[in-house]
Amino acid sequence: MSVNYGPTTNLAVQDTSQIGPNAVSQMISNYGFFTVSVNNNITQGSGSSTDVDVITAHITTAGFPVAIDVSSTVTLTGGGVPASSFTACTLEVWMDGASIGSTKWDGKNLANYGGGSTPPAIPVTLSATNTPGAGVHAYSLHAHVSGAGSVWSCTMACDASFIKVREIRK
Amino acid sequence: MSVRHTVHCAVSFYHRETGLFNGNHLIASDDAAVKLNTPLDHIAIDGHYDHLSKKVDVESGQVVDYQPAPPSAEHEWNTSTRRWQLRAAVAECQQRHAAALARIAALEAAQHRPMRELAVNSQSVEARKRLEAIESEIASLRASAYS
Repeated sequence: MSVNYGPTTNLAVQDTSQIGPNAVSQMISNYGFFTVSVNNNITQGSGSSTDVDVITAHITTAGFPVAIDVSSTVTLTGGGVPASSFTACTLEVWMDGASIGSTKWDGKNLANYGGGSTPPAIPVTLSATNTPGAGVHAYSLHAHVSGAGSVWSCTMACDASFIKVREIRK
Repeated sequence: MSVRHTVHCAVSFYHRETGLFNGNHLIASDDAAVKLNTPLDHIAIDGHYDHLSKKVDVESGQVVDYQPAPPSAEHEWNTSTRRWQLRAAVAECQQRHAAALARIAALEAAQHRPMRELAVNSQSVEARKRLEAIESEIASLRASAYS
C-alpha cells in the first residue's frame, strides 16, 4: 500500500502496529441538563456548610496525565441584602472525593450582585490537570456553600453543568 | 496489521422502571466508560434525548414523546417548543404586575422632594399637589397590579 506524494513519488504506508492501545488517548464528557441546588441554611450566630458533587465523570486511566474541564451556570440567591452571609460558595474539581487543588472559583462576593430581584446567571469554567495512579477515578465538579452570622438561606444553583475528562497518552 | 478504531459513544440514560431520562448526556471514546458512568438503576441508550419531552417505553425499548406533569394550573403545553409555559394571560398579568411595581418604586423615589418642600413650608400648594398626584397614581397602580 502506498500514498501518492507529488506527481512521481509514492510513499509507502507504514504499519501502525507501534501505535498500540497505550498510545490512544481517551475522553469522557458528561453534560447535565438540570439544576443542582446547594442550599445552606444558616442558624443564627453559627456557621454551617454544604457540599455537593454537581456532575461527575468516571474514567479508567493507565497512569497518564489527565486534563479536566468543567463548566456551569451559577445563580446565587439568599444570604441577605445588602450584606451577604455567604462566607464561601466555591466550585472546584474533585477526584475520588477530594479536591485536586490548582483551580477554584469563589463567588461569595458576587452574591446579590446587582441588587435586583433577579440574580444574575454567572458562567464559570475551570480547567485543571493531574496525574493519578492507574485505575478507576471519579472526577467531579464540586460545589461548596457556607455561611455564618445571621439567619439566611444561602443557595447556589448550578445549571447546565458540563465536565470533560481526557487521559492524554501519546 | 492490527486496526484500532476510535469509537465515540453518545448516550443518554433512562430509568429501568419509569423510562424517564435523567438529563445527562455522555460522550465517551471507550465503550467501557459508558458502563462505568451509568447511574444506578439506569440503562444507557444510544443518542442524546431531551429529558423534558422524551422518554423510553420500557416495554418496547422505543423512545416516545413524553409530557411531564405541568408545574401549575397556570401553565400550558407548547407543542412547538415541547415545554410547559405560562398561559399568555398569566404571563401578561405578571408583566403588568412587575411594570406596576417598577413604576411605584420610581414614584416613591420621586416623593422625597415634595415631602422636603412641605417639611420646610407646610403651605406649599405646589408641593402638596405633586405629592397628591404621586399618591393618586400609586393607588391606581396598586389597584391594577393586584387585580
